[in-house]
Amino acid sequence: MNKTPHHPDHSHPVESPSSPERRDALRASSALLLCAGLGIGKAALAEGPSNSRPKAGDQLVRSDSEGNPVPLRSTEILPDTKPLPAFPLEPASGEVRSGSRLNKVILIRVAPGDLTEETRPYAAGGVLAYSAVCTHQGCEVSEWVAKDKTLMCYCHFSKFSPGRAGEVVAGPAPRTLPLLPLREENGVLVVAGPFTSNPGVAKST
Amino acid sequence: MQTRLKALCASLAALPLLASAALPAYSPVTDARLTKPEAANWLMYRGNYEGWGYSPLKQINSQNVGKLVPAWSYATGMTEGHQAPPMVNNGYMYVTTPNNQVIALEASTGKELWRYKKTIPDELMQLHPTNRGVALYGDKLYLATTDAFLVALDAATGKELWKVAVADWKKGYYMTLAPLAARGKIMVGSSGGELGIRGFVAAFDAQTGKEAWRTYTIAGPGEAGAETWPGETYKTGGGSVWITGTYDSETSLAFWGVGNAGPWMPDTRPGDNLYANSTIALDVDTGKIKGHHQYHWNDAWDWDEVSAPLLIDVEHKGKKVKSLVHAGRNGYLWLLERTRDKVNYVDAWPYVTQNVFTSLDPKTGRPTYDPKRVPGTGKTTNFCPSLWGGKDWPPEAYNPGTGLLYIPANNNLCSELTGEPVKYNAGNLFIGVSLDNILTNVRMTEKSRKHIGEVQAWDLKTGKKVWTHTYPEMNWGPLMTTAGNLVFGGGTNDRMFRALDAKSGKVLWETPTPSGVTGVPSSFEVNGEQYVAVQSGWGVDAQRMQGAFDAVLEHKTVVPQGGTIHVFKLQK
Repeated sequence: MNKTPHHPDHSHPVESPSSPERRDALRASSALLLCAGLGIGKAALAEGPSNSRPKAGDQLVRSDSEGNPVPLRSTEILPDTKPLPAFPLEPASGEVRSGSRLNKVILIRVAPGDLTEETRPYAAGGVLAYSAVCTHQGCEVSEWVAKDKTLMCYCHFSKFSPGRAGEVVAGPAPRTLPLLPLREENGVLVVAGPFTSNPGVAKST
Repeated sequence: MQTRLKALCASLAALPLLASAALPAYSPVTDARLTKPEAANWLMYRGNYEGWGYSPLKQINSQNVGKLVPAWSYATGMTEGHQAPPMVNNGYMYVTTPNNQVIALEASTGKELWRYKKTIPDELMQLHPTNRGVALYGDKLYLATTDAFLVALDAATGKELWKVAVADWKKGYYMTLAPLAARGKIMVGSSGGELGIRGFVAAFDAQTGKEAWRTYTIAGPGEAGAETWPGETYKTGGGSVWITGTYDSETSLAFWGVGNAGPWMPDTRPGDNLYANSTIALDVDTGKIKGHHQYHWNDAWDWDEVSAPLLIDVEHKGKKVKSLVHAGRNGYLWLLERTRDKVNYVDAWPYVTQNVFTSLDPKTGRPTYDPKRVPGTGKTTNFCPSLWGGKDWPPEAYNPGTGLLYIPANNNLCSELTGEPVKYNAGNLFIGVSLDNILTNVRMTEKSRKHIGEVQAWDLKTGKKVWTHTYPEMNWGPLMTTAGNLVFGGGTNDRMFRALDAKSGKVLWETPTPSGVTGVPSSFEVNGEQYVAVQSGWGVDAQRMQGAFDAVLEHKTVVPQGGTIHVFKLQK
């Protein structure tokens, strides 16, 4: 089970309503909500380091870490087991980018022989970071299927090959799982660049 | 001349922009019409407030159904579970699809009138990308969305009139049900039983969207039943509501089915856990709970009892009973009595293999459990029926002509679950069974290797099963029955949509569709011609069960995805 650390509740985007317990407040502002449109909400979402996408130089911390988050080292990622869910950490501010679940990644160790040429540059110390959000309907890619060495989403059984740049090998997902390039600094995993494509669901039209 | 032209233009502009010449002006849907729906229309989820899934039309009947041919079809462009009935109001058809879309069509031709697409947040996780239809009321229609909004559209133009946030999707609340409309109110409930929600039914003013009342399905402090939840467990107690309630217009009571208690392991919340796994009778004006019946207490098996009970007047042991009938996910067929202020137990019996209940209290219907069949944290338990139950959400149908109740059942199937500790984190899964276990939970028996899916016909007067039609694997097909002595349904992984003889269960007609059929069928008439409509579009739980079958069976079955609306009529 993935445990997301405290979510700093910076913004109330238009499509992110209050809980039922807070519905009175909502009722009061509902007229405003109706008029506001979607643009403002999206802008609000993008504010602050906790919501913004991972950047080169970020470190990674366990998504269930509590208290002072400790940057993950490549040796902590073990072979042939469930991927480890993590969030990027901005070292300068110490802020964990857990404000958006689209920032969540899963870390997986892939044997050198199972890595395609295309995939190798994204790995550091044998570890790859993929978006944790399935490109089908946005559920979490959390499962490791040992027999075909794939990452699987439990919602609708999409399977992705970590050694083959997140290629879809089964299920309804329409596109590859985005990669977050990694490098290593004294054994600590560091983000080397932005996601290879937008994490999350490709909107159907 | 010019003035007259202007007046004409003005009147034309006032007309719905896209209404085709063949279509009459949109006819508003009133309480009177919903209470006594015209045979030619299908105005709500199950065709009537009583939840029958019954069409009084009989032009298509058991004599001529073999001549059923496609009238038109329409590709929705969506994948995943297409479960909504095509609803029809005097020539206008409304169909919902996954990803919160509504398509309005000319019912007799399939010509698109308009299409509405709700914008979905980028971060939304759709555990169940499906929708079970709209509510038609006045000149509007209402859509409940997976980001937990209630949206009102102009039924003629598709223009969005208002939308209100019903709950917070970031905390795991989402909606897939067709709303219920009655007495000026639009009622909805929320899914999220696996995400630690606290379930509710809420009503909104049909005109303005203003919230009228909200009744929690999980009793909290100060509410009757609060003592059945230790500590703060009620806050994340589940009790989701994801199937449309039925409604008794004489008493203004709506009957809703309530999902399982959460998380799954019963030792995390010792107590009866009211009103999880119950039906509740809500006063539509106030939201007050006027009665309830809990089918089983302290759930341990993921047996959501979300299907609303059917309102049927039956004769039981020589006595007329205004009843509530429910084929439970727990494998028992329940007969209850509804009064103005109470729900009383009458009778119940298993309709599929069930090894958990050892007895029922003859007065209250409260079951006693075999402790060996009750899952718990740190132990592994095998039980039948499986976690998908004897019948999951696909609705039963009742035919007043044959007097029979039809059940889309899954028999002979068992599950094995190992409970593990779980911690609540808003918006994340809160189950207490590993995903790996859930994905492979199915246990096949000698019998289930022979057959699983069934359509059963029960005579409620005698309590006897009249016929059973069996399928080799699962049945996820909602049923519709008609005055033409027919029962329609799909639900199998061979992509078939079928018509059965309502009296004998014999298959009279079948046709393969592009995907599997888990849609609710409907029937309607335009210009004196009867049509049968259904969506094909396999996905969500049916596909999940298929995945579990693939994990334990030697053979794998591929059911292609992609939604289509199908409308059939008799060949001339």
